[in-house]
Amino acid sequence: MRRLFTSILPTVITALAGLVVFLSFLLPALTDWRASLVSIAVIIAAFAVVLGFVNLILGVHIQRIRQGQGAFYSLSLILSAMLTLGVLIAERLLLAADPTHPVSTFIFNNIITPMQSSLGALLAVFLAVAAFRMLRRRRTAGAVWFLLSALIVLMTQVPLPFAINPDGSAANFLGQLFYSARNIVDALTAGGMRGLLLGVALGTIATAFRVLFFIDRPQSE
Amino acid sequence: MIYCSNCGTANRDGSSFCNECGTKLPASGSIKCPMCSTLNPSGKVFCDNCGARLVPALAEPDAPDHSTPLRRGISLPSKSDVSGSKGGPVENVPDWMRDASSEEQPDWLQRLAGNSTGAADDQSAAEPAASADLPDWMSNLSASVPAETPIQPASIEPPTTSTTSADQVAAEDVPDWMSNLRATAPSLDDTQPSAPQSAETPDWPRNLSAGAPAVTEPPAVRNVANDIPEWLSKLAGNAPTVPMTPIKSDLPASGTAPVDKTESADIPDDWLSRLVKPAPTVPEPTPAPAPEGEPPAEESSASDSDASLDWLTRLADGSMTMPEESPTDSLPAAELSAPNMPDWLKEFGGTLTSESTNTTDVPDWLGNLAASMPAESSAPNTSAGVPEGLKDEDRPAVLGEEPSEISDVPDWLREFQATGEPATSTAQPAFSIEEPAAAEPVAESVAATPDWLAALQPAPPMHAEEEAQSFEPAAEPMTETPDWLAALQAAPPMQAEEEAQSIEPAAEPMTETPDWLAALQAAPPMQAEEARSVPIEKAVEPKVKIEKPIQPIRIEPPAPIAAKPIEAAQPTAETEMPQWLRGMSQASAAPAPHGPIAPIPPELPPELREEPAVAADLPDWLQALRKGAPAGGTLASSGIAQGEIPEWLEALRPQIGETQLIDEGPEAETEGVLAGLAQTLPSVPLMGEVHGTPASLKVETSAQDLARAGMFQELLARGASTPKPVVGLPGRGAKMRRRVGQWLIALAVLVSMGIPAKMDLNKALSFQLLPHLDKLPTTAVRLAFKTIDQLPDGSTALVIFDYDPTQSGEMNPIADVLLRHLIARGTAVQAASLNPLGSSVAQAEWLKASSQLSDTVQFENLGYVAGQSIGVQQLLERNPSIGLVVDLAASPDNLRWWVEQIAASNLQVPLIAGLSAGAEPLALPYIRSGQVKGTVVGLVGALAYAQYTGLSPLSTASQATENQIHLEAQTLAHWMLVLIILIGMLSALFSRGGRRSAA
Repeated sequence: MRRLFTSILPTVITALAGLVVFLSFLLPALTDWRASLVSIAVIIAAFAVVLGFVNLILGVHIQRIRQGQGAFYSLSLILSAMLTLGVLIAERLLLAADPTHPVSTFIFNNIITPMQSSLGALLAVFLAVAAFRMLRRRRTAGAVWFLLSALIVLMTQVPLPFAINPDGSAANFLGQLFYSARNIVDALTAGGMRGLLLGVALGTIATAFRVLFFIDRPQSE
Repeated sequence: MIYCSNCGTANRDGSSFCNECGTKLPASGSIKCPMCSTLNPSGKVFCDNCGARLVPALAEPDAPDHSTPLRRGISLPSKSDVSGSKGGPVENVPDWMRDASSEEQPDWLQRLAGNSTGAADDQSAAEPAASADLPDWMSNLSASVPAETPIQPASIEPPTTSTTSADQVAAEDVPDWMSNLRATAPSLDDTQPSAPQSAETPDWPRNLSAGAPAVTEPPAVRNVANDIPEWLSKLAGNAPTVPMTPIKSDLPASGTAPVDKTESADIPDDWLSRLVKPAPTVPEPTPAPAPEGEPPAEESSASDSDASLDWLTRLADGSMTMPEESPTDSLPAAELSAPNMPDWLKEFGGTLTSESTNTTDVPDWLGNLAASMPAESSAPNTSAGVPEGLKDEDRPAVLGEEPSEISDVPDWLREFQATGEPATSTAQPAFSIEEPAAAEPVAESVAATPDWLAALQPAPPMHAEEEAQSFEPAAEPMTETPDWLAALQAAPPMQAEEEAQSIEPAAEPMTETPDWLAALQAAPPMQAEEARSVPIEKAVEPKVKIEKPIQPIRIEPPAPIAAKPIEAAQPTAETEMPQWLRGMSQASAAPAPHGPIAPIPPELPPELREEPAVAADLPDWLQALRKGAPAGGTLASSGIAQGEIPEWLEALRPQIGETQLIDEGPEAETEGVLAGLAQTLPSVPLMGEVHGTPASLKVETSAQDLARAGMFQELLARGASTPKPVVGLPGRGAKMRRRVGQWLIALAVLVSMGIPAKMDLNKALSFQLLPHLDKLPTTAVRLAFKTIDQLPDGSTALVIFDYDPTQSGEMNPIADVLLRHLIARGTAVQAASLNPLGSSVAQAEWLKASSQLSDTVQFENLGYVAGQSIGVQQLLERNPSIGLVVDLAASPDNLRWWVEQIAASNLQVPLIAGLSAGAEPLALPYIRSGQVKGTVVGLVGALAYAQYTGLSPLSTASQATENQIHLEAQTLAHWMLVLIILIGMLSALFSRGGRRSAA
């Protein structure tokens, strides 16, 4: 019985759901089946978010508080999460008539957005420091290629008014060099990205068929 | 009969498949050659084509009269098919006997069985075809019987006269042999059974019962005598003078029955009858020779046996007591020395009635026959000139004890056993056997025999105290065993006096014991005096000298009492003794009654004397019988088990000369097939010792390994030294320099971003270093603008905010210009997000854009959509009428989901993307492929889009300065980062740390 619910049944459900969704792209009659299955998947995904939140609070930060490792930060995170959750719930209950959600908007605009923007800005500084120190720490070919790539991408993203005309044409040699570099980057980037996407697609197909044909059963024990 | 070409099993005519192995049988009437598959006519022994043997050697070729398959398992010469002759049908034979086919029998037994069958068949056909398969010695025996053996009168109707007994069938539903047994049951106490013998009773028990000499039917006997194997006839001829007991385990039914030669007419079982018959007549085993002419058995009992149901009745009432002057006694000595007979048999025949001198000539299995017979304490030692088993028949006293335990024994067996008791008290031996002058104890003879044979021999004599010791422990384990089995096991050897007293009470616990088992279990132990008085050793010792195989059973007909010395007979016996018998005799002759040698001495306790190795092949009832056997006969093994022991194992048995070695070694095996063997499989402790040879690992040492080893040795030789400071670890100054560098980089970025707000760098440098809003390239944003501008009126645009406030500084301008364009077009907007914070961003941006333009445009915030790509698919399915999808993605993965799902959903929905500058290179494949109709990338793209459309506040004059400052700050920060990376790379090339790290 335990094997039925832990191995056999999940495998069968997964395979059937996958087959229905797969065949729905070929057989329009199965579109409704696919929509139902996708709805179930969305609900499960939403529930997974809640489960992740609970697990983050109870399984990670509570443990850290008990162990005394970064208890301050964990406690601050838990209090902030509880405060925000309480405020939003109270807002939905008390200010249900106001569709603008003023409290949550205020919190978002005056707390979350400035803080995360600041973190994004610091990220640029961290990247600059890391690039500066990279060859000091590891002078390898890969490190050199990495830095050269970063330089080229940065330079191709930077507008060069002294080299590019307003209509986009190259105004001088630097403009031509800029476009040459831009084309190289685009080609290399596009080619590399396409290769990655193809690999991902093939891997997805292989994985899908392995799951559909019971070769891989990640859903079972 | 159809003999299986695979296993040789005989199957009934008409059978399609073998009963034993399932092999398809050839059509009836033909025999398929196992070698060339040629169909040969029935009855052929050898193939017409290739000459291969068509039927097993033990069996006769198909005969039309055959209707009974070969017996398997326990076997002694017995009648297999009596339907075709004079006896009852073979179905009357117990199953265990019927199943005793050739496969489980030793060869010699198989031959015996085959011969018997053939003989039985030939009785009706009057063709001695059976002799074809017989060994020479058997043929010789059979050939000599008719001429040499005078026929004794049968006490009961012989099998040939089954017509008379056929009218007296008791029950038809019950096997006849059993019904006959029941019929004889009431006569147990009376010892004068009067139940009529069933017509279907097999011939052999009837012949056995014919051991009573009172009633004889010479004509019938004569008629059937020709069908008896000659050697059996000779045995029968000796029977009056040779008390014998057939192997109990082999013949639980018939083996213990006395057989009169005169009654052994139609079946070879007669030899059993003759073997057993004299048992009650054996005088007390005393050193003094038995009187030559013992008074004949009581005529009353003998005459009663005529009316009894079977021969067993005769046995029960003491009819076994043969008349003193049996015709066999009067056999001339010249007849004994037949020209075809080996010398030892001749001698044996001549001295059969004398002493144990002839015992040596008798095979052990015959000697064991006597083991099942009780030895009366007062009976003369008759084993002098007979085989061991024959000698042991002189123990009616022990037989007399058995009825106490065999109340459930089949009647016929019970009666058979009952013959012992009256024989001890009243019956006189029919034939006087001269006791040897120097009688040997039975115990010694048992010890000298192989284990399995020793088991067959009678229980050693035990005194009262010995019996008490041996009896009690045997009774303990019987608590969980069936009553009848417990009774069997608990059956102690008793002396004659005690047995006589314990007959009645002992019969109670045996109520559930099968009759025949009880009868078997009733193997009479012998008293010590009796055993010692039996001169078996004399008969055994010469076997050691056997050099030449001889025919194992070549017992002469009744010979003159004045037997030749056994020594004179030995050489002949040795020469003609078969190999198997020689091996047995050698084993039996091993003078090691103690120690772990093969022959287990009778002094050993019963549990040690048993031989479970044989039990593995024995049926349960035989095993139980073995366990329950009295002390003297614990090794109640059968010839079958012994036959299954491979020769190599037999060869391992300690022989003469090995005794000393074995005594010094470990104890012998007491169980299993290795019972009696020692040092064959030396005991090795499982733990604490290393098994096998020490493991050795071959390590291939290369030059590199040697160099490393040398280096390691050198390092060890240097000794400990002060560790040097680790070079790579940053010191305090290095930490300060690193921190200062970090702050300098951060300061440079901040300065670069703040400079545009304080000064016009282009004017200061007189160089168009930083871009201007009016000169931004708008090529990239024109496609996006065109896509939105071409939306039909009333369309709905799905705007996805796939970013969070972290990227809001770059992404919000993009969202602003696109939302304003949509609002300007009057397109309804549905906002959603695959990021949990995206919905808030969407709400804020919508409020900012709609407040400045128009609030009449429909706006719906769908919120956060879980499931990533699944959520995208769901959104598309919910809104199939969407005219445009605008994905504001700070990560290329979000854009990929939308591209894939839109293509998968077959929706012809245009997709434009507002991307961050960092995600734009990774989105190029979708942009170049046209799956993304237009892009707005980064702040520059947003400003260009605003400048191009003129709809965004970013493009207004009031925002120009601010937008210009933002554009210049971002551009200058880009340059600053490029400069920092270059400085870092160059500084790293010349820095020490970098070189050290690289090294």
